[in-house]
Formats: sequence, C-alpha cells, structure tokens
Amino acid sequence: MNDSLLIDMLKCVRCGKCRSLCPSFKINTSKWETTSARGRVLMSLGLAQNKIPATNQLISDIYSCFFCKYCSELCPSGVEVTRIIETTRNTIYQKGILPSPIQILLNNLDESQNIFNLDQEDRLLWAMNVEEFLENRICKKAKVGFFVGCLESFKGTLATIPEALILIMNKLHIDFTILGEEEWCCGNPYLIAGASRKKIGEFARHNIKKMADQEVKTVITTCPGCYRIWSSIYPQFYGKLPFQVQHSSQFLAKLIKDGKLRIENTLLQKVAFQDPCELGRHCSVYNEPRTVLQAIPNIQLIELINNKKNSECCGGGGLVKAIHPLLALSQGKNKVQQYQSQKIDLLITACPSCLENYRNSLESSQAKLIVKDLNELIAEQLDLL
Amino acid sequence: MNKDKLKELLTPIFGNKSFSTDKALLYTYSMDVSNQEYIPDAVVMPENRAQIAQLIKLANTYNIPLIPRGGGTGASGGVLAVHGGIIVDLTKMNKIIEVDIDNLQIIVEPGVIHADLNKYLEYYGFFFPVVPGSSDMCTIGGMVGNSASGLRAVKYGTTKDYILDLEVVLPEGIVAHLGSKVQKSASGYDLLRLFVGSEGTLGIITQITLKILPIPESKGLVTAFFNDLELTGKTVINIFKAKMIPSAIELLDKSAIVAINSYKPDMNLPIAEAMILFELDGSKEAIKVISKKVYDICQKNRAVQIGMTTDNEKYHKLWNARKLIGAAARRSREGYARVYAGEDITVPLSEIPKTLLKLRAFSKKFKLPIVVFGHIGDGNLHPAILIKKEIPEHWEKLEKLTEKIHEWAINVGGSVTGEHGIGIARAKYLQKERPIVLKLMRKIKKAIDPKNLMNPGKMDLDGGYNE
Repeated sequence: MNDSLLIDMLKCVRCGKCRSLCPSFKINTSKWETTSARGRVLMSLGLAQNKIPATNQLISDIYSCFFCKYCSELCPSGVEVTRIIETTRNTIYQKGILPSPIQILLNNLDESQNIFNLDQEDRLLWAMNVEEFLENRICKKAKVGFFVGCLESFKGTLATIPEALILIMNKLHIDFTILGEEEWCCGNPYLIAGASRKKIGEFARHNIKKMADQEVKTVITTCPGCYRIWSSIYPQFYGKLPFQVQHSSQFLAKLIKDGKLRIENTLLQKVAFQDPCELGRHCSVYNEPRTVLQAIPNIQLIELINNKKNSECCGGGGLVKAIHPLLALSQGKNKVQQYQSQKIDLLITACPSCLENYRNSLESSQAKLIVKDLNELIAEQLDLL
Repeated sequence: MNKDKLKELLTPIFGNKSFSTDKALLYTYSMDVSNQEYIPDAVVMPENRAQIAQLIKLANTYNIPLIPRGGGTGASGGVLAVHGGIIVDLTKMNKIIEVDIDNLQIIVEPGVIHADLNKYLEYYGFFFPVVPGSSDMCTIGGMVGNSASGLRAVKYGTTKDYILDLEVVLPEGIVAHLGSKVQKSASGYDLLRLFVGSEGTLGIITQITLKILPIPESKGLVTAFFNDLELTGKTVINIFKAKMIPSAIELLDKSAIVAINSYKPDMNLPIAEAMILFELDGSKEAIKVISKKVYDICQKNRAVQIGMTTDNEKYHKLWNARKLIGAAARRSREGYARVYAGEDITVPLSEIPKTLLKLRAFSKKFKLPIVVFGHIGDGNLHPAILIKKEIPEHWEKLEKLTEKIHEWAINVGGSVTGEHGIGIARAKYLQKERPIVLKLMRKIKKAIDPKNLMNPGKMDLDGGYNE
C-alpha cells in the first residue's frame, strides 16, 4: 500500500455518505457494515495497517463492490473509494487468497488471452452474420481499428453489438480493421480483479503494437471497460498512444456532427439512456450517447431519475457477477423496476455488461421494458439489422 | 467472552446469519465519526423486539455489555464498545409501522433513515421538521439517542420536542412504553425526555412515535455575504429583534465557502469572510414579505452581497451542499484531514460574535485551520479542525485546542455539545459543565441499569458504580 493511498483513507471521516449511495449495500440483504462502501474503506484501512486479517468476510465483501464509482464521485471528503477497493483487491491477490472464480478468470487470461479460456482462433465466431464485410479487413492497414473485446467476441448473445457497428461502418464506407485472433483481452479484468499491473502492461503492449502495426488513426470500442483501459490506463504504461481512442458513441456522434451519418427512420417510443458507470463516472463521457440518440427523428428521449453523474449501476460491474451472481441480478431487477415507474418503452445502454445484466434481469421479470445497445438501435434505424 | 461461547449463546436467538464475530467485520464497527477505536466482541443485527428482549436477558445472565447502534454517524464515540461486548446494529429494524395523520404522528422502528422518513411523509403532505446534516445517513433511533437537532432547531426545536412515545426494552428485560398517543401529558416524571439523549445507556429503543407537522406551503432562501465575521452574529440578533424566526439560520465562514465550492464547483459562491443562509418557510406571501425584511437587515449590517431565491433547484443544491459541509470541510486546505473534536459547542446567542473571533484566534495560536460553520440561529457552532493525521505533533495540538474550545464554551455559559452528544469524546467535560446533573444522572443510571450493561463507559457514568 503506498503512502498517498493511506493518507487518502485517513481523509475518510466515516460520515456514511458513500454507504447511503452504495448500490451493492442497498441491495445486499445482510446489511452488515462490511457490505457498504464505508465498510470497505474501513476494512481496507484495517488491512493496510495490519490491524485485521483478510478474513473470508472481508474477501467476499471487497468483491461485492460494483466499481460504479458513485461513492468516489460524491464523497464530501474527496476520498477515492473505488481506488482504495481496487488496491485492497490487489492486496488479496498478492496474498494469493483470491476467491476461486476470480482466480479462474485470471488463469484464463494468463493461458488464453481472453476471460473465457476459449481458443483465440474462435475470436471471430461473433462475426458469422457479417463475414462478407470483414473480408480483407482483419489486421489490415486502415484508418479505424475496431477493438471488439472479450464479452462481445465470445458471448453469442452480445454478438449483435459488434455486428451492428460493422454494418454501420460498412454502410458509411469507413476504412476499418479488426484484429481477429490477434486481439487480446484489454486487461480490464486484471485491473478489477486486483491483479498485478505488470500483467495489464503486457496485454497493453501487445494490443497497442497490433493496432499501431495497422497504422490506425483511431481505435474504437463498443465496451466502456475496454474504452477506459485503452484511454486511461494504457497511456500510464506507454505514454501518449500513436492514435486516438474513442468509444463507439463518440465515434458515431462525430459522424453525425460531420453530416456523414444521417438517420431518417423515425422512432415513436419513450427512450432513456442508462449511463454505464465505466463510460460516465470513470471516463466522463455523458453527452455523446445522447447526441447520437437525439439524431433519431421524433425520438422522445427522457432522462432517468438518476442520470449522468448520479446514474445507478446496472449491477453488472466490478466482477460481482463472478462471485455474487444473485446480487448482480437483484440490482438489475431493482433498476428495471425503477425504470418501469418512469414508463419507459426502450432503455438504451452502451455497454455489453449492462445489456447482459438487464436482459438476464428481464428474463425473470414481468416488465415489458426492451433493452438495446446504442449501436444496435442505430443499425436498426438504418435498416441494417 | 470467547468466540465459541458467544456463538453458542447467540445462535439460538439470531441464527447463523445475523450475528458475527468475524475480525474484519468487528473492525468496521470499531469506529464512528469520532477519533476513537474500540473493537467489540460481536455484532448482532436484530429484526424484532423479541430478539432484543432475549438478548438483554442473555446479557444480564452473562454480564455482557450491549451497545445499540444506528447508522454509525455519531461524532462522540457513543456507539463504541469501550468495555467490549456486543454491538446491536438496529438498521434492519427499519419499518414504518403506522402513519396516523389525524393524530399528527407516525410510529417507526429505530433503524429508519431520516431522509427516507421525510420522503415517505411527503406523500401525506407532512414532515418531521428536525433535519440533521446527516439526514441521508443517520437513523431515527440514533437521533433519539443523541437528542439530535440540526438545521431547523431555531424554529422547530430538537428531536426531544417531537417524541410522543418510546417503546424501550429496559436493562432487566422489561418492555416499557414511556409515553402515549397524546400530544401532551403531565402524568408523572417525563421519562421520555430522560431517554431522549440517553445515548443507549438506559435501554434499547424498539419503537418511536414521532409528532409530525404539515409541510409549509413554500420555502425561500436568503444568502448574505459579509466581510466582517463579527457582524454575522449581530445580524442574527437583529433578525430576532425584528420579530422574525427563520426556519434555519446557518453560518459558513470563508473556509467553509471554499470547501463548498470545491465539493460542488457549480455552486461558485462568492468568497467573503462569512455567509449566512436564512431559510424561510410559510405562505408565499409571507416569504415575500419576510425575505425583504431579512434583506434589509442584512444590508443595514453591511452585508456585501445578498441574494434571494425561491427556485427549488437552487434551494436544494445549496441546502444539500450545506448539509455535507462537515465532511467536506477538509477541502478548504489541501493535504489536511478533518477531525471531529471540539466540533459541537453551543454558546448563548449574545456570545456568538466573540466566540467567532475567539475561534479565529485559537486557529492562529495553534497553527491549525478551523473551518467554522453551524446553526448560528441557536448558538450551536461546529468548528471543524483540520490536521495532517500523519503528523503526531498535530494530534498533540489538536488535544490542547479541543480543550481550549470546550473551556471557552463552558466559561461563557454554553455547552460542549449542542446536538452530537457526550459519548466518550466529551465525557470528561460533563463534570465541569454540570457537576450536580452528572451526580443525578449517575444515580438514575444505577437505578435503571444496576449492572451497567447498557452502553457502559459513556457520559462519565461509570463513576456512579464506584460511589
């Protein structure tokens, strides 16, 4: 634990503001202090000062944080709660006592460069429906490099997200490439699991080199987790990157602004945008997804009660799903219930993890809400999907 | 008592999931907002009165201290296990039992969060007017235990003015109702008021009946900025002399303004030596008239900038920022942390101007920043001392500075605590501030809790058991 982080922990006055905001505490039925953001800071402090051991309760509750960063955003004392929890996860990692699902995930990454321990050769399975548009585009020199990410590459249920973006780029004659089996995980799971930063550095070096080899000017991704790592963490290892990094919402917003993307089909639905935590609070991207949605004629775009900096996590973050799947699902259901009260027809997100958690939550609910990814919606509006 | 024995005793009452002796979990219950740290032997989380009654019987049999706790937001160490024992976390007892609008009351369990209660009551057009800064975090049980008040005490009084009935499990296991549904009663000793502010030393509260009031038609806010700190106190006295009682009168000194601007940059408050926030409530017409009168008095007292708003969004932004200034105070000085010590003095209104200057002088003398804010309308000031926690010398200076602040309050006829309570942090001052009262308190404590099992080590009450 470095001194600056310890001083940061000592800034905490234990006022409990973070506890009152913490979605994982709200949803956790045990209500132990350890399940709240404040409890996690106190456990981190105790562990850092060798006052307490890393008990099973500590490990379990340090890994029940969604990493939504709501606590850090609104902490009156300015304590970087999420960073503290990240560091405590690293302490647990260093002690070699990770919860087994997290250890398995890290082993997968080490062995196969993706979180699912699948063959890298299968990285293009998602692309079956758009194969024709990818001919001569894999690891080829291009202006835009699309980094697909593990979730969308390997989870068939999320394949429509990259498909949608491919179809949009094809229609707009964008000169793009993808890395295919040369793409490695962005490294975000290493960071969130608490693994050594050296590991992230190795993956960063590989991915940066592969994109740089294609001489791309812009790397885009549809996953906020990948976006955060590419835009904020990779430069910490290798300085300014030789290309710019954009989330697909930024990329599409720019195309709209430049008049290159026009949407003519109308949408007569009440639509709301859910700010993904890693895109919003972690990376401060709030306006671009709204710009894209507003480009749809007749759209009735409303703001959720808690939006932008105050947006509440879907439950899909922080690797909580790996250890406390029911907690993640409960949070998703809780959010769906809230949205019902706002009478929304269509919920748009821009994150595969949000989309998956909401879809899972909706499966076991009576709610009529439809959830889509931003790229999917735009492709549909362009009659591409 | 060892872990295995505790497990054996507590499992029949709480099952496996509602008690814990896990070391990391216990550590998270070893602190509150104060600078104290005591690790309990166990934590339990009851969900009903029956469990509490059983627990108290068990505590009596085995002489185990019990420490009731709400949101853990207290600033006096009142919920810490000074002599070990079991922390009774009451946050799961958070049901609203009954709303009785016709009789202007609501019955709640102690774990209800203050802000949740007022959100709930809003539907009925009513409210519980006492508003602590920790509204989003603190529980009603904690407010009763500490006799909390907050921002609106100047007009609406404190928690004790709203308690109609308390259901309490007494130290010997008996369940008692100390009040009733009536709005007033002269029937015998007022034990309700004895239990409000008793900091869990007399029993565990399991139900609270609160008096509620209709929400005023509208609210307004007047903000006045001064370049002379002393004039703020004089302005407040002049407001009262002009026959007005705003619903809140809040002071923020220059460093508190800086802290608010840092926490909420879009507030962008003008930097002055101090500002006063006047909250006005009532009919729209009345607010219009009173705002103008408050404006005029501020102007006469040389306020350099005065603003008025009835805009809901602006009102809430400013009000919410003010509520959290206690925790945000450290933002006024980079590298420093806020500590809660000497932070809750109350002085007679006439002593406010001198006290404000004295706090400045103390800050200079001890070379430690003090951010001053508080409920200037009722004389309750919150000097927030900032230190660098990693420097041992700062802790030494803090102790001396705290002593000076408390001595000053007592010497001018004030109190070491207006609303945060005595707990451990201020226990040594009770003898100085109210020696005879302390003697009586010790006798009462011993009579009600002969074994000293209810939150022992607080309010300097342990001394009574040696007499």
